Amino acid sequence: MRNSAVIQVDGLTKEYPETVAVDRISFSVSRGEVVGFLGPNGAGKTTTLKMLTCFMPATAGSATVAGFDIATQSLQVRRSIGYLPEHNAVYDEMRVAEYLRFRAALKKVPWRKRRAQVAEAIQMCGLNAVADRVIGQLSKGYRQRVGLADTVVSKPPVVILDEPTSGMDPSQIVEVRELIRHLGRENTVLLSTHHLPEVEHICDRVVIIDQGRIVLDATMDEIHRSPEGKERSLEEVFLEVTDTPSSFWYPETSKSKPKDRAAEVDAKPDEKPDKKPDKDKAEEVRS
Amino acid sequence: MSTSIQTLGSLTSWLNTPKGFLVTMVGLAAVLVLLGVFTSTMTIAWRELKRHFRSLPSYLVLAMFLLYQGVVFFMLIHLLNTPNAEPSPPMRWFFGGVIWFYPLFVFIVSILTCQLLATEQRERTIEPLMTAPVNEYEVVLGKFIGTMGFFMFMWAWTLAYIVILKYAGGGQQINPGPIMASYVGTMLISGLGVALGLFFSSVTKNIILALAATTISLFLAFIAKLLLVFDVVKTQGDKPGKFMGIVSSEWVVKILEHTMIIDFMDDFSQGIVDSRNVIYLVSGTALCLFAAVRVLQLRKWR
Repeated sequence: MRNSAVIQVDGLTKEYPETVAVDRISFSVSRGEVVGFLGPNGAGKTTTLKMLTCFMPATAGSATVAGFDIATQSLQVRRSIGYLPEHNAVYDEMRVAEYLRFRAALKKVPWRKRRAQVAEAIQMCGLNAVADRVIGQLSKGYRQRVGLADTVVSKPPVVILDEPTSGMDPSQIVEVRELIRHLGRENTVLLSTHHLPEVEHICDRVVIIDQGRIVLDATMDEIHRSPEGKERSLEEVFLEVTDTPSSFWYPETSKSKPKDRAAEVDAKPDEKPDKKPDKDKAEEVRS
Repeated sequence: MSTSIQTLGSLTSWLNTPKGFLVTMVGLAAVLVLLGVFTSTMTIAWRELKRHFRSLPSYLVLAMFLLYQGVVFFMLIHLLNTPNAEPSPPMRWFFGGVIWFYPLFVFIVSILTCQLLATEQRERTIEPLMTAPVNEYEVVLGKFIGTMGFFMFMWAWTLAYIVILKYAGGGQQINPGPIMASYVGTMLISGLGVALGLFFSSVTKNIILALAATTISLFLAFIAKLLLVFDVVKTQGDKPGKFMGIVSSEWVVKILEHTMIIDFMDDFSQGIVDSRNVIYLVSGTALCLFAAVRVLQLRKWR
């Protein structure tokens, strides 16, 4: 184990009575790295992140976050992470600044520093205009930013984000991308997402998980250059390593070449999640 | 040695005076507020108290409560003012006639508590909450204290009746002891109810289910009391207590009679703080809170 590994996962497994959600995965994230954690719906991304944030226990295997064991040092782990859950849930009746003060207090930010850190998080996430608004009245994009501000308010060394850009419009996505890049300068970021362009822009490394197993763990350079020396995009690699047959999404083009398929995906990027009803359901049941 | 016992004795007697009691309560509140700066429990409690003041059901409960208590107080004074009424302290009847307040109490408790943990689980706000560095017991205790805070706010308005009695009561002497005991008893019984509601709210993410479970279980106690009353009426107090023949076993009847929380207010309103009652209520509250903590921890074993 390298000394600089901030997140170290060893054979982490989550079994449910009927299925194995996460199957003996191992990877590590070094200090200051921004790692993209990718995979189709129901691959086990959220389950893995929930285990890393001590929300649910692992069936087998171990992991350390910021040097603390997730099974035995849960409080210390939770002190050193900022976590944005998949369905960003915030208290609707509170005001933005008030909510962040509450969260900062829960995260044991010293009383004297609370005001300054809340102000900084508000500034960082562009919430100045709505700091005194009730969260329940905000748009989805702003709510997501409140969640992001919550993850950074305690200045944690490790930031874990589960689909931070879901429900945001393109300009907001660009802003969040900038924010994550900014975070990556000082913190370690583990980022789960469907949005591949985002990963290409901000991640140093990519871990792809499919059906509970890690199918790829490579740096962006390694991905862009195939072993034969050919240029390829993250999208092509993603479709290649994940097991889902293309006919599942686009039955009419199932016999076309991979090149054409990639073009099709470019044309209708939004349809990917919608066309996999069964896997969506499986994920809902799990979470 | 003897001086220390004397000091202790004078201290307890000072604590028993209204002034001492008030100073103690204010001191306790100050300690809690100070703790609020440092502990997660008080952070959560404070947030929960603020939530009550921003939710419509809480205001409806408050309005219902004040209207009801106002009518009861008015009628009490009216009755005690009739020429052939025996002279008697009104507040004793105000708190002692709790059986007519109990059905309202059931609804107030279940409406105020059903959301506490059920909403967190339904809206998934439990996820950011439990991934912050807090324990399950801090969450449960915080929500309990916050809701009790709202209860105290609600009951604090009834202090106005004492003021009214003092200044418009025609110079009638007010004995502070029984009144203080009544408020202590009210808070202890409310505590048990809130803890029970909190437990039911922790087991489900469905608010209506939590509401129904709390209402039904608290209402069973009322029905048992009614059966007991009917029994006494039917037998003219001669051979009371078989719950209209529903319960046949002698010792079950005994247990039911001793655990009737409705009857506890009779003692409290006369200024009797019976340690058996207090221990029963406090341990019942602790048991329910402990169960709620365990239910929250259950998530970790799935």
